[in-house]
Amino acid sequence: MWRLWGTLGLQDIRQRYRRSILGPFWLTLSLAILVCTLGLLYGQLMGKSYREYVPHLTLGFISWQLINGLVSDGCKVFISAEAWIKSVRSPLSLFVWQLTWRHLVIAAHNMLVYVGVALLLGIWCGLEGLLVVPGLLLVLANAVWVMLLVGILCARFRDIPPIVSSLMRLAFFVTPILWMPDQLGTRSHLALFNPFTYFVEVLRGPLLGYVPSAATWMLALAVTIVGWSVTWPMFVRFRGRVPYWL
Amino acid sequence: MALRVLMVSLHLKKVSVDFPLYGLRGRSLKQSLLRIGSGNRIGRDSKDRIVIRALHRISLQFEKGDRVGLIGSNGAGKTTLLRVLAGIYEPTSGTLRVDGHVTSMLNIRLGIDQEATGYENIYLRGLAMGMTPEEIRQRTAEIAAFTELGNHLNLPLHTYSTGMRMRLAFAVATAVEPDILLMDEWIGAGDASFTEKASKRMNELVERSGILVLASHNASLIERTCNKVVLLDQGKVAAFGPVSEIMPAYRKAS
Repeated sequence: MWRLWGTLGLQDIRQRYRRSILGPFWLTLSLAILVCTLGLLYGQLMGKSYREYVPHLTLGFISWQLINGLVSDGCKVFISAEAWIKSVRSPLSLFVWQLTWRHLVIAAHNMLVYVGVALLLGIWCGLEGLLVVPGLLLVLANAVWVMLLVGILCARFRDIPPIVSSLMRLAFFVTPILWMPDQLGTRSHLALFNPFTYFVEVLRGPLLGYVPSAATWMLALAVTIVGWSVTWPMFVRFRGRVPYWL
Repeated sequence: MALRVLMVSLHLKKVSVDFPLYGLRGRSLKQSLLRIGSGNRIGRDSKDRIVIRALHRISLQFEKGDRVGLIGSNGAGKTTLLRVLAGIYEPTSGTLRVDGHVTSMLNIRLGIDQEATGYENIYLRGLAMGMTPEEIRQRTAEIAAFTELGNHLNLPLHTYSTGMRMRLAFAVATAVEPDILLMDEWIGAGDASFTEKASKRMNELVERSGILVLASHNASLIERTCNKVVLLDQGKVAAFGPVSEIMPAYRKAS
């Protein structure tokens, strides 16, 4: 089955950039422009040095685009696969893998921007960088339950996609991407009330060369366990109903 | 498909399918819907939701060699029944047992990408039909030859005429080795000379499939292709038997 979702996921990207010269590297370019501009402006506003702020911002954006893409597109994961679901028997997980794969490929294109930033500023993450692997696995383990949950809910209740998209917009501003947690001063623990903080942290921390705190890992793991224990019974109960709702 | 299933069969036992009607607000609308009733097909389920009964206690049994024609007026439940057989709709009640691999040809354009080339689309369509990449590779030459599209297959699909697209979709769809083949209306393609070739290929496909279930409004097609007929009426099986028994009565009635 991996060949099917692998092909479909790439096809999604190819379809979008067919006949364009840069193709999916438009993603890279637009992120590069965003990071350069915001890096200059907000670095100044936040009173942070370029060296400190730009890598933080770049990795924050890349992580956020991955997480936000998976959650927001997760709302339509089954709705947009209606033609497939209604004409061939296909496991619902197929479309979840397709979407996950698509966003991983996009993230890989975005990562080129960070490679550029790291080379220019002479940043080397060291061995700590390897921790991005468990970090990414943790993010994906959560993305999958979120996609199943919102995918099923959105198929049944069509009011949920706009709710999710406005929540995600809010989440972007309360997650330390444009700003840094230490700017909260004595209240830096406030950022921990926002689960998106941990998931951005487990991706960004290792690549910047520091180990995210034990609390971050524990909280991320706790979210994973709670999320799956809510989603799995619901998925088993309602997966057969999804074709009826489309 | 190295491992072909020896036993090929389809068993439906008292299968019912209810579609819930969502987005109905207000009691009065519900009441009036229930009053109209549309041939007793609108009712309430155990949770007091308004539902439309698409299939009502269908019991059928198809074995290897059965060529089943599915007939009935619009809204009789033909497509819904095909979707149940394909494993798309889980029956609301009753059981379905399937032995063999089901190939559903309910949408032969599924997976087609207008921007991709003909060859790429053969691959995409093949995957969508459930073929493995090896199977597709083995059959690509044969599929390409059948389409008679030649070098056009290297061009993106949006440069094709409608007829050329149909040929391509048809050629891939009919390249499968089905145990159980489900079809919503007969598929055909192209101009006069191609139509003949296409219908020959369709007959070969039907011959090598274990069971065929074909929904159609075309009575003479059913008589030519099928040996059994299921007549659906308002979601119920009105008649099931050999073509020679059912079709004359059906023709007379309609």
